Amino acid sequence: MTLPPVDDQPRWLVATTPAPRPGRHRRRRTPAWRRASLVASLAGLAGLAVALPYLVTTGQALFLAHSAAGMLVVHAGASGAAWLLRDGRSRVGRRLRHSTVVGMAAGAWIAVLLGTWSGYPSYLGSQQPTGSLAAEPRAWLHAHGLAVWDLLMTVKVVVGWLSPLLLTAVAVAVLRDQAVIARDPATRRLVGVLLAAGLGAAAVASAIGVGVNIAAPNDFLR
Amino acid sequence: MTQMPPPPTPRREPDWPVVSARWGVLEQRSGHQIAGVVEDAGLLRAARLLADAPTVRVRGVYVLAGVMPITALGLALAEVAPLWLLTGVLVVPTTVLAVQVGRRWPGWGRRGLVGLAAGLVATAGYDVLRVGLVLAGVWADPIPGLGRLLLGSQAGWWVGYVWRYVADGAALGLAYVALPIPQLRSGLAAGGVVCAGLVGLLALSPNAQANFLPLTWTTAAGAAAGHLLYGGILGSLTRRWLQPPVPTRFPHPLPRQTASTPALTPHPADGGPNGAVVAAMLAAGIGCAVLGALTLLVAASPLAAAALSYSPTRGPLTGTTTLAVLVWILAWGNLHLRWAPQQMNAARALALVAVLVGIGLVGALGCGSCLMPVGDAP
Repeated sequence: MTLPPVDDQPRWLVATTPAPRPGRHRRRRTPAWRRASLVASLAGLAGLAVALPYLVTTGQALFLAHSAAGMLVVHAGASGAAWLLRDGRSRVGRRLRHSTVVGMAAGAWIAVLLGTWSGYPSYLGSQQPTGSLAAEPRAWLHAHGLAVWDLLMTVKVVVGWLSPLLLTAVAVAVLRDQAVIARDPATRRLVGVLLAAGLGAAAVASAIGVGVNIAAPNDFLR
Repeated sequence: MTQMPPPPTPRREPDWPVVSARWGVLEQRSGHQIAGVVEDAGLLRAARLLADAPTVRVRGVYVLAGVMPITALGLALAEVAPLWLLTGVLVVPTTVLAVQVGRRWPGWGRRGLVGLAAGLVATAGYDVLRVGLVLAGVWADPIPGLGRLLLGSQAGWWVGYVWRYVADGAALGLAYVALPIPQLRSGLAAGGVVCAGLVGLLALSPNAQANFLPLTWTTAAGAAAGHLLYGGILGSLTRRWLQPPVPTRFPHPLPRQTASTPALTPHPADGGPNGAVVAAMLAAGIGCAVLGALTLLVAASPLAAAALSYSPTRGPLTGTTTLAVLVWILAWGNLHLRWAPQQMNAARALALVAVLVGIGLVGALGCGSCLMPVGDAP
């Protein structure tokens, strides 16, 4: 018995991946290793999400999210600040640019909201001190002559809140009027200055946060 | 003898080869599946057309401003949050936005005023029925309690009535006139929907019954009659007073340069005006300046620090940041509505934004330990 020609056979008898076509179509095919790494990353994140409740407390998890969001903002912005304001015809580049500015703004908001409503009360300590300085970082700093870190912490919480306001404005401007930003030098300078200011505010707040976490005990995160 | 024509080939559903852009694999779909895809595309296109309609955003603002007061009242009656807080957070910003929209597009502003007036008259008609039932002893008058809910026990009886007429009756009239599809707009249906919401709230929340009105068959029937009367009056008045809205583009195109703005730079050869971008940047600067100013105020005044301490464990930071974000949103909406179609002087805006962000930084650096919660000394 001879099989009919390939075109008439059911799909399951034919190889699922056709022969690669030359030129642009070949370059657009996603390599297998990239697909595998994406699946592995997603599986790892899913596993981490399942295991996280068994590894850390709620306060620690929120603090990790706050720190990660702040790092995301600083690194994402620093790595592509100048490129964000360009205009290009590449569809992939435009999507990457939009996702970067949206991610930066979202990361900034997540960081400040988690910090204000979850991390800051833990830093300030309870209204009725428990007597354990290790559980109340602010009292610990004042008791050990490190009040300057408390002063820097109050600066951090205000400077950090400048970041989402500025980065959200930049994100909306890039999403909505990228062509105007790219073609008008004065407008590009305005958006660029605010982008730098927003990233600078995030960087300053992150740096102070790192310092406070090194100087003050972290027992309050139990 | 003529040859018999060949039998017709059996008709089969064509296989439509579809190249999947995602995986680059040649897939085959049936015509039935393609028909479903085409129908989905048509539905999505209809949704897109509705979203792109020039009046959707204006109508949305009016509807939001109209339903927000009664929503806030419902949440307060259910003891979700204090009414004064909900008024400041929900009602005031949406009201300001609606006022700005009405000033920006006078045609819609006049339409809104017609809605407000019709709502006031309809509420008066509702009260003729309701006060009659109160005087007849059928039910108690719960309206003065709204004033106490808003301003505390010292509020007079008239405060509740002001809220009822302005924030409930007139605002719902504003929302009513902004509804699309005039042929389907029915005052009776609108009154019925509001009554259903009230009855549902009382049924679901015992706190609401304690704070407002106990839910019995008598009160439910009275409320239904009153709301249907309100809706009927509202519908008939608006049908008589309203003209069909003139379609306007959003945003409305304005001349690029006016006598009051001599500093406008020439329009670029390619690309649109930069007014929206400048508005966003300037609004961000205003938000930063407000945050810095409030931080300095909190440092200078313990009374302000206490007033802005929305949370005892977080101190005045919650109040300063909340107010700064609200001002930012309001400023952005206002500036965007005014400047979006214009070409603005970006260099001058940069200087102004730098000053505003500088005020924010000064507030951050100069506050010292001002954000310490009141009563929580180390």
